[in-house]
Amino acid sequence: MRIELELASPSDLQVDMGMLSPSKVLSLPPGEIEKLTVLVAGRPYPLGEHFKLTRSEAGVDELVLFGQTRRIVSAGRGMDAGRLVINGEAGPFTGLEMKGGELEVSGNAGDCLGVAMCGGLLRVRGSAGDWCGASLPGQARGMTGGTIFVDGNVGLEAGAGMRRGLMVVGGNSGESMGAGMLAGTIFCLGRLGPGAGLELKRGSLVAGSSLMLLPGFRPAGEADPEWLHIYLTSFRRLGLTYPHVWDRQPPQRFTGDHLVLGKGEVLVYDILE
Amino acid sequence: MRVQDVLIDDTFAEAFPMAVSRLVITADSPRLAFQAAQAATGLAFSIIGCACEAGLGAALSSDQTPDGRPGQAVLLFSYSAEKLEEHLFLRIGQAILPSATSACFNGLQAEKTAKVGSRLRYFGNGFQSSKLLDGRRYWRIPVADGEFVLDEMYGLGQGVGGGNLILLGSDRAAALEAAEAAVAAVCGIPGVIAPFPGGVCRSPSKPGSRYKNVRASTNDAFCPTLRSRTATQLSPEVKAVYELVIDGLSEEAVGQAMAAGIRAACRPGMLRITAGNYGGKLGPYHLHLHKLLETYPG
Repeated sequence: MRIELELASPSDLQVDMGMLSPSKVLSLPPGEIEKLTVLVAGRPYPLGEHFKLTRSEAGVDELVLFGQTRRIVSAGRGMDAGRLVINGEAGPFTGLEMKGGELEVSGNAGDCLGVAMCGGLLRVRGSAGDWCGASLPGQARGMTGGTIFVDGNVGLEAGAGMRRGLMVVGGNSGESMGAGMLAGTIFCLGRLGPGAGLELKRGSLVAGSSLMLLPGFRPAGEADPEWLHIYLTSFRRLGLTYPHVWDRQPPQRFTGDHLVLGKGEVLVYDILE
Repeated sequence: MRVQDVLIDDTFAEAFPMAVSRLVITADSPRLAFQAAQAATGLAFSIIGCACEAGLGAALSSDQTPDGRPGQAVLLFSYSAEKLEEHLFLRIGQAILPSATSACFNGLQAEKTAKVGSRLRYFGNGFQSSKLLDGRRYWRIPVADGEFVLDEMYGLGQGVGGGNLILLGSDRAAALEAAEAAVAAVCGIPGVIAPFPGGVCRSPSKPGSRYKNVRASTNDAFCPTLRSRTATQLSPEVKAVYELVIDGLSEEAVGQAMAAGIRAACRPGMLRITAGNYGGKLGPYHLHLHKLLETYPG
């Protein structure tokens, strides 16, 4: 079944949908969905007052949000199953603490996409803001599982504090990507922003290009691309594209950040002068 | 029953459940993958002495392997999951890890698993690292030509071991030619191996011996030089006998391979084809030669 919710209320106020998981919405009978609570500017309202609902039969069970979706905050918060599609731009905290299922955004996503995520698949066709897949304020651990694909660029501190999981950014990253990473894997197919891997303890950052890395990183020659090929093979099977040169040429490897534990690595295909 | 004038005995091969694992070995070239796979199957001919029977499966193209490199499948069998786990650890660690450019992946999804990568990683002496992709953990062990990548867990399934054919020929050359043709046909069936050297065994055994501490001894009933001293199974025209042992991922695969082997072996110089069993008292799988030829027509 496919349920479409169109946000069409005449206002600019943010709508917090963090209390609605797709599997819960899809399990409710007609008439009950409109009674669910959403927070508009922090105050509770029945969902039916702000959204227009359409129900249709479809091959896959999914909840689709469209309309003024940029106003929606925390869509898919803590979702553990099902499929949520945001047709348009997603507001901040989309996929916050996501545990499972699949969340797709057809446009750009705001800040804090997939923060503290621990499972599931989050795919953004556009770009994402700052702190993508990072930790909640005051916490050391960011993503602890799951996968984030962002086709465009990401803002600063993407993957900060990452403990486990996979992030693939099709474009460029902002400052300090993977800062304080504890483990996990980040691919930035474009250019890595300055300060990448600051206080990286373990884990891998793979980038298409980068300026000189932070002084805590030591050159370690050419990487053995064997494990990378497992990822690239998986990307090909998912239909993700990456520069063809990655299949032929091994990246340069830098270990670090040696100012902390130093068991991490940054792999760069093209070092920019 | 006769096929191409070769007598096919109305008997059956008695097969047993065995623990099985499938490895996918990759390397920079098909030759290197084959070399590593061959090393991994060394001295794994008979469960009696080696506790493991192993053989090469299909050569794999780069789109059939997890890392997009050419590969080689390997099947390993043992009498228990615990023993097989020991062999996986030993063979991956001692044969595949040292092989140039190699990587080793699990090729069998099964409920029961063996922890191999999580033990072998200690060879990295603290420099090892892991990657988790789609719920599957890979270990990266630094070695002198880069990194050895292997799965953390390997599936331990239940296969079928002990499928067999005994080929009786009018001379040694003809029997061997028939046996080699049968091996080629058997190895064309997916999911089976013929573990003996070249797939052919010239020393069929029987359980027990007149010497204590010897678990198996030569099957005198099939030895041409003993025909005057034992209750021989050989008619006067038979000059040489070869055995094929066939293990597989399923009873169906073993049966199909036996049928293909029988057909390929029926050629000039072959007199009779039979199979070994223990009267049906030991193994739950009874692979009747006549039924197999009916079920799997050529």
